[in-house]
Amino acid sequence: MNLVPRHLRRSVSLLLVLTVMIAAMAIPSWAAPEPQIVGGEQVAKGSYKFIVSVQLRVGGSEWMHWCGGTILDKKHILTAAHCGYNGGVPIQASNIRVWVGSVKLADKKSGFYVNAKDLIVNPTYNPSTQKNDAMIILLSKRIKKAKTISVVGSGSTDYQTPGYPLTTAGWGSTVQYDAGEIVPPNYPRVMRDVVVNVVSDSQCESEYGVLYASQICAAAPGKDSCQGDSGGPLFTKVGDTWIQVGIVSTGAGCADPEYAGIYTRISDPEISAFIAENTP
Amino acid sequence: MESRGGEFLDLVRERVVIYDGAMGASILDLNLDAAGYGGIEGCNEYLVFHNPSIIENIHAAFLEAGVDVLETDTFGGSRIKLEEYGLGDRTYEQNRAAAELARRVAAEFSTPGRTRFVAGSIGPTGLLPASEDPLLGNARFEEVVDLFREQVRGLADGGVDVFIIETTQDILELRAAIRAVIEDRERVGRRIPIQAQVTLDTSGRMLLGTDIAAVLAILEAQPVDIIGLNCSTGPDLMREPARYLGEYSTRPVSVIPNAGIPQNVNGRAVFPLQPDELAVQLRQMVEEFGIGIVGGCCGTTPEHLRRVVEEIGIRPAPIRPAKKLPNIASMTRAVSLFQDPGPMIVGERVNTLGSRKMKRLALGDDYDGMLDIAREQVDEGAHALDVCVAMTERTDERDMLRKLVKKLALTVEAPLVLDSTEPDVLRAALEQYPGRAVVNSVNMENGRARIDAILPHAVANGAAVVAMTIDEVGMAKTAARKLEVAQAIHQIIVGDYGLDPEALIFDTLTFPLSTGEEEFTRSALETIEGIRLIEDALPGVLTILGISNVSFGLNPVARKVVNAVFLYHAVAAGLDLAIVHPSHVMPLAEIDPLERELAEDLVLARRPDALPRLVEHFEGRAETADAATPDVLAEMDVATRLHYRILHRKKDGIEQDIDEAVAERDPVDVLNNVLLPAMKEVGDKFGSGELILPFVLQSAEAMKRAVAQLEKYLEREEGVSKGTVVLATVFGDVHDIGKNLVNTILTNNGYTVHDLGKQVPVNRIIEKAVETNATAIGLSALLVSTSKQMPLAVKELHHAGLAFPVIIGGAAINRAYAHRTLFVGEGEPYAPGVFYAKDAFEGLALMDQLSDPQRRSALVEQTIRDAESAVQRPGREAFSVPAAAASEERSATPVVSPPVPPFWGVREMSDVTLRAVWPHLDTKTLFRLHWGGKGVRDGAWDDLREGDFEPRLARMERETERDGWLQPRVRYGYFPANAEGNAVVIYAPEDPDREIARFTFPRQPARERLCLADYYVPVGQGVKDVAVFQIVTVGERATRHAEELQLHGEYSEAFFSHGLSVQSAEGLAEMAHQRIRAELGMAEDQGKRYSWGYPSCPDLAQHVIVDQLLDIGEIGVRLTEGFQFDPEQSTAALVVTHPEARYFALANVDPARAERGEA
Repeated sequence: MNLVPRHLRRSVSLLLVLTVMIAAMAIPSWAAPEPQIVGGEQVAKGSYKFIVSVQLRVGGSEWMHWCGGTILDKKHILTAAHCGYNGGVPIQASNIRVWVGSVKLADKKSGFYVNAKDLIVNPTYNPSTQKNDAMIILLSKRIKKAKTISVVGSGSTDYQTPGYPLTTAGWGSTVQYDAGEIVPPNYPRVMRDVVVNVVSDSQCESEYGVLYASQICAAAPGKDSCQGDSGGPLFTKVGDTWIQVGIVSTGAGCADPEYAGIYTRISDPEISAFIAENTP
Repeated sequence: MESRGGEFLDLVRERVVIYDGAMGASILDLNLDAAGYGGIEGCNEYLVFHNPSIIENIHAAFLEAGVDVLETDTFGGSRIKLEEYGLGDRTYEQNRAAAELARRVAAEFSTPGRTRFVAGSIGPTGLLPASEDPLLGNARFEEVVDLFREQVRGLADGGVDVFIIETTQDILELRAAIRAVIEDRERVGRRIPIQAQVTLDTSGRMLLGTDIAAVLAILEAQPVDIIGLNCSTGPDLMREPARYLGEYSTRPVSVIPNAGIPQNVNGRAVFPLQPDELAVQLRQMVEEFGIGIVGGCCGTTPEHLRRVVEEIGIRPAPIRPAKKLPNIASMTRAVSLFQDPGPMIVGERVNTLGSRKMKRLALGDDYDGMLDIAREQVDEGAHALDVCVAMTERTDERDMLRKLVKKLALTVEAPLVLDSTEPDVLRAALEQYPGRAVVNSVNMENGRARIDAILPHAVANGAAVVAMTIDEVGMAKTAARKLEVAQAIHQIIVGDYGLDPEALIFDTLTFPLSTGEEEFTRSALETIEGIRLIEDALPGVLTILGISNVSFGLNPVARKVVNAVFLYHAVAAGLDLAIVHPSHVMPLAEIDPLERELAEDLVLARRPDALPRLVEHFEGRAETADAATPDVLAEMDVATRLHYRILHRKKDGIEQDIDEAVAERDPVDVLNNVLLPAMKEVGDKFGSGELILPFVLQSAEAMKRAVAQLEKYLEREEGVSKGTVVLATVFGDVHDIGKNLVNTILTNNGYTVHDLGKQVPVNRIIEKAVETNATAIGLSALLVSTSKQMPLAVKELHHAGLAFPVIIGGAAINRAYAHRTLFVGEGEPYAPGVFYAKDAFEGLALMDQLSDPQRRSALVEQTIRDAESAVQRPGREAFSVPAAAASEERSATPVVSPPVPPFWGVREMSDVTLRAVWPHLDTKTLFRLHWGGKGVRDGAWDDLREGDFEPRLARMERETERDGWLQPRVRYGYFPANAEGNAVVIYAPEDPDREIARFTFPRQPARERLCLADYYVPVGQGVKDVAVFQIVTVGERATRHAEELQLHGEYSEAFFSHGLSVQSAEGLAEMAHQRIRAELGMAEDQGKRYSWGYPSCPDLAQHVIVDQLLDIGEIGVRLTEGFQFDPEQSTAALVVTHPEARYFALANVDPARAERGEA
């Protein structure tokens, strides 16, 4: 099994991916900046303000949506470590920015950009196995009135029992890429979300053959996170508090009935420690 | 400083020019770390200090690829951008250094025969001055201009040859950058050209919503040299806006796309477009749309550009239209000053001097309330809005108008007419308004002082100007005085300030007729006559009137009548714009004949007692004078009443009428036979000019309420949708009534309808169809001009390999048009089909067939068959006579006795020299059509003809005679012939009983039923007529000659030579015809010459028979597979000697009617 990170392997359809793929293959390269064919759940205006779009500079003034991320506090964004690499090469902080405040990308009436100052990759991250896939983006300035998300505590097993429903959300293409093949992009401009259920470690390990302690799996029939959702959260809401349990990391295909999606497990002590040390 | 700006523009005028590729992305590819950037990580501009060799290498790689123009490494070189890296103080230095560096590299690669140029790149500041964004939208225009000044100075002093202002997202910011360049010209002492480029998103609009038509209207009014698009998307998404610019921009057009939209492929950010694809797509845009400057933006590498250079090669610059579109624009869209039907309606209520409500809101700083008035006016049909906030109570007119204008730009789509008497107020408003506004107004009350105070701002901001006919003597009251003042104003504004006449709008002044003073009794008539005189004497200028002042002081009911009569006569005299309250205008047809007469007596000063008679008639009549109406309605049966209500816009009570109607008859019957015919009558009256747009909209509202009520009775098929339709009124067209009806009908019959509204660009239609996996696309257009979008949409669908059937309809469309639209290439139909729906119900019937797979394929096949047989496609098959003219019965053309030929058989004409051809040259066609003079008018045309074309022709004639690259040859023959039905039968010259060939010609299906065969003596009369054929050529050296010139870079000479050669062949044909007439002893004007491919003899395949008869190879001509002659400078004809012979068309279409959509 060749495991690839989620922003590599999958695009962001958090939806009925199989139907999507069939429909999406017919889309020509110039079409549909806001695809709605797939019937996925587009989130309401003002939702999930703690989720940001991590964007990569690709030209003088050209940027692209690259990954998801979450606001831990005014200066720190949590995302996946593999989002710090472009084609295996580390990305300079000056080429990363985040889009904050709006579920609709580029809608400057409701959102704004903040540049990255530094990218802090988890030192125990292994690019070839995606083990310990976490990174913190240090922002160049504070986000005023930031909406933040709490992370689940170190060693906690809360919200992680098999079958527990968790939400994941993001902007990404609704089209999956096969390795080496360029399929036209299909980025939605508005964030989408989907509910998946935690899969037991043993089940997930049997699917993939290997699963690290710092990984947690989730799945639901026909639903999954996908490419471009990388770095985004696996989360729930308790009372008025948003709680993040995982970081979108990797998986085989998208919504493949035989493979669950793999997330970085935040409660893993190594991951918890990395986050705590870097968010003073 | 050496000036290469002129040389650069010469190159642009001469051939397609190629820019370099990505700078920013090329630097990113190096993946420099902080040290690589000299400690200022991510600042590309700093590299010209820290490590210039990186930039030099990038420049050199592009020049090696063969590009003509380098862009400096200054995209982020404005002070505000450099400030982000703490380099603000080095702005001038950085730009100068980057320009000098690029110039150095360009010089290394330049040769005496080929200069490489340097474009000073100016990217966006990141501010959005037209927006209300709390961070980005605060800067005033002048402040944004300041942000660009140092960059412009540095680039100019560093020696750039052109400024490229690029990737602009806010059109107001672009204007600020242009202003910075213009204001620096005096300092630098040379004219560095400006290339102004905007960035559109995938929906074809700029970030703040500006569409391409608005972009063009705004930039055509700015002193820029090149207009174009760059970045953001790949070339495929730029096709539609590029086509628009290519078709309408008078300035050369540039297209510099990204290598597609970046994608995340296996964790790598990738620009997907490969070099070959980019090159091919750019070439297609050059060929199809007349794009003159291309290059690459983000993601384009030297390899991309190498392929572009190869693919484009050396191509002559496309010819630009000579005349600008007469458009003004809001921030979002353009509106033509010439409305058809006229006039352009300027809403009068956003005016503190004319509306008490507006004044109250303005005094209370209630901007939302003022915006509501503006929106109402637009909803009621205003094309533009007059905006005035002058008040004696306040002194902050300038700040108020600036603030209101900013909000209006972001709120209403109608362009603004900025109404103030204060130059500084107008200036502030003009500099805040992103669109192309109209200034209202100037006059000569104090000589030219006011004009001199306002015009510089109007010109700098690209505005059109209203000028009132007032001078030092006072307000011009007679038509002659109005003209006199207008001429004086024209002299200054057009003569001294160089404003286009189409941007000068005269207000001939409206005076109240209610005073009864002798002085004013003729004032309305003089105003109307003044319009006529001014529009006759000053070609191009427009006229405007405030209408309601004419009835000031009269009873409100009388006012409406007098206003309507005055407006009607003013429009008839040529009035272009009317300032009115759109919903208060009454259509003339609705005025009681007696009241109309009374009003006309007054307005047209037809009788001395007109005013007292009118006043007496309306005495005591209150505004609710509609009292008569209910009585009228009460007497009608319900169907007539519904019809009346829709036609006369009486929507109140229409629901009850519907209830009553469905009690008597089937709801579908009510819709089909009551409501729809009423709406059709509204449409017809609109088309004929009896109704203006606001009334049509009000009728539509009545219709909408009627249909909403009717829907309660219509059976709705619940559950599964029968299919999905994407509906749109095409780009440029604001008429959506017919389309809305289609929506209603389809929705009520079980279809899911996605109605994209009006003015929809092709891109968006296609996107939506893909997104919804539509069963079909429905397109509507009212105007002939906008219906051209339909074939375009079909071609784009075809180009993209999509399979959506397209249904088209609307007043301008007919079945024949749909047939032509079906073909996307030479004889190639758009496989999914293009269908014509004459009304909503035919649309429904088509949808029912298209959504049924079995019936669908039969429908598509049948439609393609019909279209193929309907569209005459010469050269593909023998011409078949249209069914309607199946009868071959001869027309009434008399039989005349034939002339006697000097010989029978075929010869080559002797003594054919160029000198003999010249007198027969049609110079008008040569100059206008072949030499690109089309559209040049008036003085400019005289200058071009006398100053260039005529001396050029004289020189070329001399040189051609000397060099012999045109070699005229003529072969012609006389054959015995007779008519038989629709055919001309040709007999052997040596044996007049033996048929050797036969030409069948089409016969007019109606009218005089003419056919070329009728010009010959019929068979069986014992007399043989004479059929004369000729073929002429100026030889294959002509083509070679043009090719050689091209090869040597003499592009314009090649162009002119080609034109001359083609037109010489025509002249030669005319000369040969004259000789034949002489040989036959005929008068110089007897008979006609018919070439194949024209309506009366359409079948090019008959050239084969001509070849058999004349043996065209003898003079070096051969036929191609498409039955064209090679060389192309050859033409054949059938010379008809019959004295009544004339040219005729086959189809019975009156072009004037077709233009109004009545065909």
